[in-house]
Amino acid sequence: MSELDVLRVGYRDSPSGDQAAHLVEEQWERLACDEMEPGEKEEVLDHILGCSLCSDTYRAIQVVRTEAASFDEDAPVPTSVNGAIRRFPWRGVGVLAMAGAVLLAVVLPLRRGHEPVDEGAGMVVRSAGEDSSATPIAPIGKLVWAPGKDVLLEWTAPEPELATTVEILDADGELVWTSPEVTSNEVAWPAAEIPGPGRFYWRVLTPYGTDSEAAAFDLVSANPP
Amino acid sequence: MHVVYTWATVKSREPAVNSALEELIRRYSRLIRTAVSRVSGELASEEAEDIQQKVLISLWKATRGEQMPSHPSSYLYRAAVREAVRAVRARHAVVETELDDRRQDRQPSPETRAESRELGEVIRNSIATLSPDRRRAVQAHLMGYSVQEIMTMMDWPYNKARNLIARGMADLRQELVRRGAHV
Repeated sequence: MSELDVLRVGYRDSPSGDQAAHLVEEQWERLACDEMEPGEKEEVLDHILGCSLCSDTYRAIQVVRTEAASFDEDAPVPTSVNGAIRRFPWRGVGVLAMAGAVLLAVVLPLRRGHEPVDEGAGMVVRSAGEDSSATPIAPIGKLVWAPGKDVLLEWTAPEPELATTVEILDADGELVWTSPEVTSNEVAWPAAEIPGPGRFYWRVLTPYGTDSEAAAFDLVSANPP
Repeated sequence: MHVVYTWATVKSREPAVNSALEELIRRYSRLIRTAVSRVSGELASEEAEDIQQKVLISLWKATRGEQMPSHPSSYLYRAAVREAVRAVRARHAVVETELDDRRQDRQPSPETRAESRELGEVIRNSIATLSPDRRRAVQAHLMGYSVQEIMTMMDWPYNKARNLIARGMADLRQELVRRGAHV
């Protein structure tokens, strides 16, 4: 057994000392319908994370929640994790752009009032629409994979001539592979390093601090057993 | 005499139900069967069928109640959540009984049982020393939730979830060493 397995078994099998606080059906119902106040939700999640029975129940509820919206129009719409991954960098850029605009609007007029402006000095302004970080292109989403074949990872980078590495994590968040430094915008994940089908996350790490956000893909075997 | 109620026998005694509603009930019962299988491991087909039938009948009865609202599908979703809770609990009870039987068969030594209990306690006590977000990330990781599931559960973006797991696990390992636990 790996160290992580030992920890997991030890944790799951030890009583939490809080067995009396199992969620009642009405609480599960409100949790599944997003009707809990934040404070109560936090308490409930704390119990779920310490209790193997409620943890399993939560998983089952999540399955119901994720699938129900596909056939029942009145069921709550599940949170899209892929959406959250892709949305995040743009939300960050938007917030930064707004903060920058406010800063410029407040600080620049003040500075102009006290100091002479050097008209000759060039100023580089990047718009929020300009791509200033590496961006994964493929794979994203489902990838049918023939065991024994490498997987090619491709991305765009603002400064491709600089050395870049790629990091791949499995669904548990464990680091599976780190690429050697490359100066192109692609690298092959060697077949020998691929643990098998499953969900993986990958991101591009650059030496100039413009790391990409993570992209997710599901590696699906072309030869199912 | 023990009577086995099935969807067919119940339906045959009651007036016809709206076909769209019936289809919805069927889908929910299949979905709960799938949900229970996913958390409890592969079920024997007989057991899975039994769960599906029970849910089917319970959901159908729920639609015959006096409090049936004008939007039956949202009502059904709530009823399905309750049925999923009951099904997982029932399945858990079966698994626990099976595990107890197997544990009795194997008869682990008192020392082994004490060691195992002690390790669990040390892990839980060590986790309790972590900061709240790292603690939650570690607990979820040890419960076997994937990063994706943790993101959904905590409403965290990917990088936050990933970093909290990594840092929390590092803190946990350090605390375990400090407490002299060898994993």
